[in-house]
Amino acid sequence: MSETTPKIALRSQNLKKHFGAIKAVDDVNFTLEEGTLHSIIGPNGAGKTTFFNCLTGKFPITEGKIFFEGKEIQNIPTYKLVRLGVCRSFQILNIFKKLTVVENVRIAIQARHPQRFNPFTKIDRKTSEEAEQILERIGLESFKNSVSQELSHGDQRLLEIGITIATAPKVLLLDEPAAGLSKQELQKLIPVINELRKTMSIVLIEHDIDMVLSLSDIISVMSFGKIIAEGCPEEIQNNEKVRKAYLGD
Amino acid sequence: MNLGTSITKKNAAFRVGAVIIGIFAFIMLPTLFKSIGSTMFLATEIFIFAIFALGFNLLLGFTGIISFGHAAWFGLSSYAAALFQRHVTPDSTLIPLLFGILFTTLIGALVGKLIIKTRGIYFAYVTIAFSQLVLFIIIRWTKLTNGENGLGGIERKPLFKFIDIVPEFNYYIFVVIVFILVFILLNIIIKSPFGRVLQAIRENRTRAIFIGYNVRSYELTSYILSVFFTSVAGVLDLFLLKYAFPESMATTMSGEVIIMTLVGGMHNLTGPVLGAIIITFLKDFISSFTDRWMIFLGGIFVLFVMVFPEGIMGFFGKWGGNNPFKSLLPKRDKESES
Repeated sequence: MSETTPKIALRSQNLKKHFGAIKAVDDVNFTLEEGTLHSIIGPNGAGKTTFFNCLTGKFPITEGKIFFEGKEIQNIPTYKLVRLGVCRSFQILNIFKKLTVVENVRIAIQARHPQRFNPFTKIDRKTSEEAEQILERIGLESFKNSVSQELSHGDQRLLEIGITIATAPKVLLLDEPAAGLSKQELQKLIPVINELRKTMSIVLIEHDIDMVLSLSDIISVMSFGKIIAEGCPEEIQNNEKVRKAYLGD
Repeated sequence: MNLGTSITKKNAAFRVGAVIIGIFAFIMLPTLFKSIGSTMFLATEIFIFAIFALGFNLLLGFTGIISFGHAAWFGLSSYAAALFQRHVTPDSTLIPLLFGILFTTLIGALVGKLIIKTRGIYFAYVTIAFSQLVLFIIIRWTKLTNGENGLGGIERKPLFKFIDIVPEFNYYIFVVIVFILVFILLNIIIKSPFGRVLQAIRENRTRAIFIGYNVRSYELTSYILSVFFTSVAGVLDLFLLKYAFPESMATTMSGEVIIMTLVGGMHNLTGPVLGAIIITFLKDFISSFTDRWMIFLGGIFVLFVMVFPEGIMGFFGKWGGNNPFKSLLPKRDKESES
């Protein structure tokens, strides 16, 4: 991008995750440069989500190292990782269904505040205002008092992202944010992601190939737990290995 | 629209009304009870169980953790207070009472620290195991606890040397005051940031971890608070009965508090109180003509689980509209949709 070497936000080094004999993630070296949107694509079962689970401490890793801003993070528990600034969204919807939309976001903001463990205070107004700002960013401000399970699937997806960014991440991991969305709903999602990339580095797992090609700075392709190709969108489109992995020959 | 402020203003008038009616109800209740052939004793017992159910429900209804052994803490606090009055401060009620609460909360914290790692049904098993452990220590340690006969000779000494709580009505009022304090305290807790996090953990534990909460320490704190409120109920029960029984920590007692909470409804504070009133009253009523009252209680339990899984308060909530309890239920503001 510029003359100075780009800063590295998140990096995995020889990362392995084995479930018995199955090598779900096999020797993955992955580098996320600061300020980029880096997509990971690959056929079903390639190990993309498992890779995310390793990065965020959901699974203990079998081997290898993970670095965030130069620090080793593979042994840090998930909740501390989130406070450092690595946060993910989920492939399967993972919101607080019975709470209101604004409450969903507010809970996530509050996780950063020192008052979070205090059982004898009220929720301060600043947190509520911050929550409303985030709802505006994701375009859900008009639903703020709805119970979140009553939202449409597309809006629940947006809320999922809203909860994730409410933790103020430096690195945002999005796991198939477009899963199950209609064309129309996709049109709401893309500007949101475009807005977010201005303030944070993003890793995106996605199946919608048009979306990936139009959004990404760099694309990595995973197959059977390994990264088989990496490059800018055009390079990936013309890569022989990638075609093989997707089309089977 | 500022959240919070507008909602509180809307309900302010209702709240004041509810408080006035409430105070009247508390004073009138024993009189009412006597008129239908019941006793002041039962009225007091109802509020003790209401405290027990509220404490238990902080864990079940607001954190989503089920304990099948909470009676252990209820009983243990009564024994701790009883022993303290018999051996250390025979002239005081308040000190044994506080000691019972403190001691039980401490033991509860230690046990909680050990068992909070287990989840779901395994947690339930472990709580049963620990409650049995406590029960058998109490039964077998006959030198100290007088075994299955229980500990008698407990007396209600004046509070602060001048407030006489020996008459039944005075003790009733004392219990009601403690109940109101517990209710207010829990109301503050569940509305605090901490309380919101507990409810978020109940709704989606994984997500709570992934937005940066150390979920286990919240669960442990909730458990300890729950033991604390349960022990408050336990020591009050001791001074009502003036006797500590091993039955107070039996598994059936743990079951009863679960039934109270489920019947009343577990997603708000009014539910467990309502449940405590109904079940304590029914138990007294049914056991006056048969010893097999557990059958009826079991029937009620099954009925509620199958037909009203959200309890009485949840039932009212579903039929929202113009029901008088609506403002006590979780708010669902539909105005801003559309």
